[in-house]
Amino acid sequence: MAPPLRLARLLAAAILVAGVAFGLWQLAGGIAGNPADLLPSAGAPPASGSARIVINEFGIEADTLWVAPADKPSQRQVVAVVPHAAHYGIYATLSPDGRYIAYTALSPGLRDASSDSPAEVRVMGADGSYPRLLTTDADLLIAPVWAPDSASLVFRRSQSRENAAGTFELVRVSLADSGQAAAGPVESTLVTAEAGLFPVGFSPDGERLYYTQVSAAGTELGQVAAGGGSPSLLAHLGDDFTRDWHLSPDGARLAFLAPQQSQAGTVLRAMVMELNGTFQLRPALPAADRPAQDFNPIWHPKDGDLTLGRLTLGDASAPAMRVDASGLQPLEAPSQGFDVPLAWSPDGSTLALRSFQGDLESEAGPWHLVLLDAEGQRREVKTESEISFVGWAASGK
Amino acid sequence: MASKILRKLHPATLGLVLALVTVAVLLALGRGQRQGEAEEGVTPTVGTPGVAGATPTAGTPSAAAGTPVPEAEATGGGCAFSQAPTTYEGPKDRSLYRNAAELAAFNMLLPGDTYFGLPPLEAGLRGSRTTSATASIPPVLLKSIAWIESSFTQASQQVPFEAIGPALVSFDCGHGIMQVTSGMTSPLGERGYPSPQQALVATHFAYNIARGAAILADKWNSAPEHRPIAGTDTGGDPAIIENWYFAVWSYNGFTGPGANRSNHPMDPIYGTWPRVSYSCGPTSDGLGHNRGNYPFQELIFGCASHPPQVDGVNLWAAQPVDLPDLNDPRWREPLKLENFVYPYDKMDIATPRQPSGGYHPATPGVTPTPYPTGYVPPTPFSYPFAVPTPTPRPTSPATPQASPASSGVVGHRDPTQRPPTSLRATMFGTPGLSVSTSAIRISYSPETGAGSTTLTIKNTGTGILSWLAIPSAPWVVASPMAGVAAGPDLSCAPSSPCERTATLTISVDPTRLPPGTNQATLTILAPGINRSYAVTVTTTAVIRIGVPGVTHN
Repeated sequence: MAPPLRLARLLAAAILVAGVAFGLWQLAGGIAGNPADLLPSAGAPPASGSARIVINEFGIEADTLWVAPADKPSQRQVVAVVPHAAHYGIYATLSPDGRYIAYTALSPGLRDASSDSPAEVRVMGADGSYPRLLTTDADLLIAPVWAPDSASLVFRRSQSRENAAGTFELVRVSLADSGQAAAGPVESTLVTAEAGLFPVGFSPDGERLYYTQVSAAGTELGQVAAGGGSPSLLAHLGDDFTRDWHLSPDGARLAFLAPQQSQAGTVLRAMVMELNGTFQLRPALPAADRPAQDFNPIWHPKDGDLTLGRLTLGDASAPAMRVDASGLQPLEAPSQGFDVPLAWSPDGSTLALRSFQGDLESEAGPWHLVLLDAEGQRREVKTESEISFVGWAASGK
Repeated sequence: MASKILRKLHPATLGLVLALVTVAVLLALGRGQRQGEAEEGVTPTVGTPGVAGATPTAGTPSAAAGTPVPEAEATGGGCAFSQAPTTYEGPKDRSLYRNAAELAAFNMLLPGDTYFGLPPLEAGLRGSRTTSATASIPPVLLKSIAWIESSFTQASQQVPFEAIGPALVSFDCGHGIMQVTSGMTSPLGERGYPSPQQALVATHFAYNIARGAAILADKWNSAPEHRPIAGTDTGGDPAIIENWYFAVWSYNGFTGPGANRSNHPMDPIYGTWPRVSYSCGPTSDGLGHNRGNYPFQELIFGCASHPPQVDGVNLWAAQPVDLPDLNDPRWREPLKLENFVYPYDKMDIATPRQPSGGYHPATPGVTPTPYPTGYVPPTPFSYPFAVPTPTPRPTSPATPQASPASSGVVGHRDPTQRPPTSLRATMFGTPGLSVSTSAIRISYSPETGAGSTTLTIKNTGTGILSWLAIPSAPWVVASPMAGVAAGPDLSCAPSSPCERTATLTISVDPTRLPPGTNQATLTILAPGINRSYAVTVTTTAVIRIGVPGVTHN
């Protein structure tokens, strides 16, 4: 019996040593320091097969991130409570693989915060685990933009100047690098300009970052290699402010809103630009027969069709519209007010949208987050204060 | 010993114990890791997302009564004071501050003072501006700015109401209720010390509000040379709240497009479109509350319309204020991006107003903007479908209803009445300066270190006595350099830090102390009452030179 007992003791001791060593190694950042390595189950989807939404509920001193199944949004669960400087909420985005949440926030210790106070960028598991600080001098109002592989993200840093443009940078941070260097995450500045820079999104292969540049000359579309290099301006999107830029899933088109003159004055129209080299620009829809405003043109993840909001003067209610090869398909309309699409679920079955109660863009009234499924059922996400949509979590299938 | 225990354990039990030990070690280490995470932030105990269901523990506004007030806070350098002066925080209902704001709006706090008084306000159109010495600022604007800037508080968040503690100083040197930054980013007094005006702005709520009002008035008057005019159809009348659109915008800053403080209503930096009105009311009111989503002037106008509540009571009556209708060329054309360039002389707009019940038709005579460069007309692109005809509104046709424009009433006026002149006295009282000593002596030697002593400043009268200590020599260090002594008429909450007599610590800076005996004067200024008191500071430095044991005095 003696040899087997000695063997068991040796084995147990080895397990103990190995366990402690493994734990220390894991907590030190694993191989690459990526949150995925820190937390093998970080953001792992639950067993439920339903698509899930991640939303952020604003609080005066702390925001609450929730996750909820799309078919039962009332069954929400807290992901994290994020303290922030009073009155300035966080700006969060979900990684493409649904496993991480990145956000900008003003430190709760910041005295008398304002929108240009230096913001932190943090990343954590989609279940709120292992928050990690990436930087402390980012721009609050620009939510981080993820690379397609969820391994890096881009944030904006700027310095404002009175009566002048200021200096802007788009900075890429590789999460895989973030745990290795004792000095902190490794940053690489992709674009620097004395004009307002906005990160739009990465090409599907992750090789390029598209961005817009806003100056008194208008809005330009630019691109830069994700690994660094000389940025280049590709096309002129308009002479005025444009907004709500969205790359198509295949990276071949860019949808956005641009102001145009109409019978009713200036309205925002959804535009589409081909990115295949011609940079042809066209309205996403023909003009309506009555004054109309377009809202937030987004892409369907499977079919690559556009979905947008269109509020036409005099309508009793204005549903979101889906534009496909067969024509213009109004989705299920609200009983009153108008819908502004936010994002389709990854499987394209459910649309998250903002449903406004007013009948004018300038008097939009209160709004609610609504999940519209393929059967046309509208499910309201009820919260006690204002919310923002963070993204669709992995479905769990 | 450990090996004996291990030997007696069954292998399965041993395995279980080892697993538990490993788990315990991992848990302990995991807790250490989270603490380490927190230390990465700007502040160690805050800024890290809590675990599920955790309650935030930081960022609470004014602490409860009895909470100790922290020592004077460093202002981060680069501001008027290296250390935040002390100040008095008034009652929670902000009645003291609201009264001050109304007095300031009507130029009744410090009229005639070139720094704290309102300048005559200009009115009229570009090229034909005239000034009016009697014009005033709509009081609701000052109150809204005070709320947005500081939650209407003069002291740091840790200072309870009706108490004395460090003044509120922001990271960018904004001071007090109105977050006065202009003139507060560096010491502007003699020999590099803070000026009396800076001391008043930092320590006294009434001077702070008066200065904020004067700055807003200066912003108003910066049109048309440096800022656009709002109210081209109403003569730029300052009595109309909406005509302050650009002045309020300017209070926060005119920066370039895309900047965090762009404040341009069409700038995509404000990510949610359309925006619902901003509200300072309860977060459950269905309106917007995240300030990052709004240009500054929309915060102020929204706060005026949806006022904050303290203990369930509105701080002021809701005041409707319109924003520009960004569909209407009267506002949208001047606000085009190409015009958003200093000195903004093409951005003049009519008095902002909203459509009511429908879009305004395009103004005749306005030439549509040509399509942008690079725009390809839609003709090459054919839509393979027809646009469906929308369902008409069943009850009311799309007929624009009476709007302020069509009814002849343009803009809103603040109904706040001019306060009684007697109210002013309650803002300032009649402070009196008393200093505990006229001469102090401090010794210093490298062996024993720098000595220090204290003196006290007392308010022999009423109201707030603001004081500023200015040394005649750089080796005299006063801490804090400025503060207040409160009169007996000012309320102090029970258990709150509210030491009415100010204590000033005087020490020497050994790096600037010449050898031998030195004498200097510490002047205690009371700038609000134009009084001062001289304190002689004498010090003896004991310096050892050469062989130890040989002392030179």
